[in-house]
Amino acid sequence: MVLLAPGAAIQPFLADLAREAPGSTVSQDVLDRVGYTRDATPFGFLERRAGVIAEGPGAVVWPGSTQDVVTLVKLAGKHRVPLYPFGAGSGVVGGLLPRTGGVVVDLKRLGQVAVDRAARTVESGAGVLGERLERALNAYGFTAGHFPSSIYCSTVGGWLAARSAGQLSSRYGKIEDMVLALEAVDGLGRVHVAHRGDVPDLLRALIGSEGALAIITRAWLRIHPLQTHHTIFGLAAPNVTAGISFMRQVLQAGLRPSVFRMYDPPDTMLAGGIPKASPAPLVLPGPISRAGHEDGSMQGKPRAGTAQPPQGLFDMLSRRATAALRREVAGGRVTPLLRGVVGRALQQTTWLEVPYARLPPHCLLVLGLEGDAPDVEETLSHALSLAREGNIQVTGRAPGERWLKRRHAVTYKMPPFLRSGGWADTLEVSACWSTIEPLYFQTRETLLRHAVTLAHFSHAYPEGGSIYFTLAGGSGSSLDSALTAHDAAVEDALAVFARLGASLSHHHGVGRMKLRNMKAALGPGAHAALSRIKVALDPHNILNPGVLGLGGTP
Amino acid sequence: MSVLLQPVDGLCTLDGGVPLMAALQAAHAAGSHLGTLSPRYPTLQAALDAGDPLWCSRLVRVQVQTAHGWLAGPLAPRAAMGPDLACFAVGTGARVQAVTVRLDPAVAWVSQSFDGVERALEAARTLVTRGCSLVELRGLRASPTLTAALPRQGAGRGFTLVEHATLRPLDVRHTLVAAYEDVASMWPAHGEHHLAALDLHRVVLSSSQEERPFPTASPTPPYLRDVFAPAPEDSRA
Repeated sequence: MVLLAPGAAIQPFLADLAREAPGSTVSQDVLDRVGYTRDATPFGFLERRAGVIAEGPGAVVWPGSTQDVVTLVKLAGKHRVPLYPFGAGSGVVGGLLPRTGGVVVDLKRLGQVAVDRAARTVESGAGVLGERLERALNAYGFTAGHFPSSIYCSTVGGWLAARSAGQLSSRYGKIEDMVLALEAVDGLGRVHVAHRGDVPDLLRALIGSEGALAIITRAWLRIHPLQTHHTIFGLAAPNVTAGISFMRQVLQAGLRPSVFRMYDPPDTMLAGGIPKASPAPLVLPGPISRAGHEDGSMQGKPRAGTAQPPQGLFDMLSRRATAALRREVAGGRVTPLLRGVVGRALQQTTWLEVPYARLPPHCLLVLGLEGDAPDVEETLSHALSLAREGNIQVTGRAPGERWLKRRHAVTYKMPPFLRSGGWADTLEVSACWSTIEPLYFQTRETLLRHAVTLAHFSHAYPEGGSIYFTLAGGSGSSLDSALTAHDAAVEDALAVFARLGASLSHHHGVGRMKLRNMKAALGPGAHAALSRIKVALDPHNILNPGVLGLGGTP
Repeated sequence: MSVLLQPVDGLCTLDGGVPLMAALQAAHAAGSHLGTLSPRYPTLQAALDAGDPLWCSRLVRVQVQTAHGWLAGPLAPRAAMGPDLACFAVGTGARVQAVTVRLDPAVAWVSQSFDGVERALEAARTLVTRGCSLVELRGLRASPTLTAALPRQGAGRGFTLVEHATLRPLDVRHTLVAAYEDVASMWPAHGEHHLAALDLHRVVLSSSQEERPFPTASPTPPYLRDVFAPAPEDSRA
């Protein structure tokens, strides 16, 4: 990647900042600027590899307090310098695309954590990494219950700005369910403390605002005592329809599983198929979030020199490609020939419809429950009763234990696959239960025209749930051809979402990837209202301009 | 005016002007509930204009008419599509056209009296932990009665099960959202009051008394007050 030089207009701003906010750390080092050029959007990786000339931030600033953020914003308003709030860069929809005339505001120095055990709340700085928050809470016997697969590379502020969801969301909810209040600095440097239930509820306007309305600096979240017992095990549904019905009945019976996931037939096959019966579910001591922790470390954390166990599509494809690469590539460079072979093999996917149709229809589910021992016993009994009624078979503990071991690994799997000559992306969507089944089948049929497609169902709620599609294709010989194929796949899938009344996104957000579809999805008055809120909170249009379709060029 | 129950999706869609008692009765007759035994306000429009915490906590989708056209979120749970504008518009005077709220099953009921609010609160929290989404206390501080709807029989273990619960009017004049830990000190020593669990952390305390027994909420900042100005043709503007 080639980085353009910082805009000249930024220097007077930085000089003022050094004078008026000496607590802020500033860098214009080229490595810092490159590092903050993109979030984790898959095509960001491909652009870097292709040597695309890109804009990047003119500087990176690390404020040390809310007051530093206030000063920063006021000076940015005075100099009309765009600010790009940054947590840990795990976003995947292009929410971060800084221009050379702008400044990235990395909030990781806002790192305080204060636990109120009596109120069961935690006050957290916006820059606290998920893993650090959870470790701090565990030390007091609590959990936030929020375990996104990006927990090692995402922050509390980022979770709120993008409406994050964690792996235990069916019990603990999404981040918008967890937050009780937040502090944010708007585009004029005013500090807001928005509480749940305020009228109007400013909290609802700031959550999911993706940095366009205010910079989130602090949050107060619910926390929960670590549960004393858990169970986690696998089940097999005869088909997608039966599996969806079972998930709905469990949630509507008031059961709140911590883990509840179902893999569609292709994903089930890639995970090794339906396993033979393993030992029956057991109620075990400890919470699911700490299951298997013997050394105090987080489960599944990638460690230097430790290979992650293979899982799913990326592994199957990248394992073979990587093995070939290792034989043929010196110094980590991929030969154009090999990349072309891998990329082209995935360019045409229409042939996949035949093997997809012949796959066994079974779906693997993982169900995890936690609470005190009587609670777990009672909810397990009820869940098993519903399973019997729905012709869902218990397959034993092994699938649950395997999921626990690999739960955070997927975040780190995409780059090796991209290196091998493919493109990949994910699309997540939520819908009511009556829509979930047609949404799955119609989206899968649509995506298969463009890409290899897998799906799993997770984040189940009493009124509906989420489907997470993984798509992969070949990049062929050029970045442009990969982008064309990718954009066509996403556009067609989003059209299906819209037609069925599903959401554009469940927890990745809008960013710049889904901008074109947002206005239609929200209704004719929504964008006008959103624009008026933008003007009310950020009249100089300095906060992440372009995102959510607000304030200028995306 | 209509009430549309959607039990497969666990939802109920109603017009802003529909009498809330009628909506509660429809849900009750179908073996379901809308989170409360009391309508609290005559209509959902009135409840949302007042920013009633209980009804606001059950919103899934709001369609409102503003001076700039209507807006509504998707009918999809927990969508990540920017700010929740329609729910943010609640309480700004915007005219509510249709509202979708959560509808939960009530396969059985619990009714039990306690000899103090502390023990009643502990019981309420236990039931919420077990998945109960309608848990209410009513009465005097020294002798509140708990009523809860059960999503499954097993959730009521250890409590007194009853077959039915009765819908009752409640003229809400004052409300306050509080943490469970704070309720005991806030529940006035005299007079009957009402409490509904919102979730594992918060409850809404309500009073029909003339004088205000709880603190008031903070006013809306002026720069946000006009964002959702009602449409000019709206007679309430």
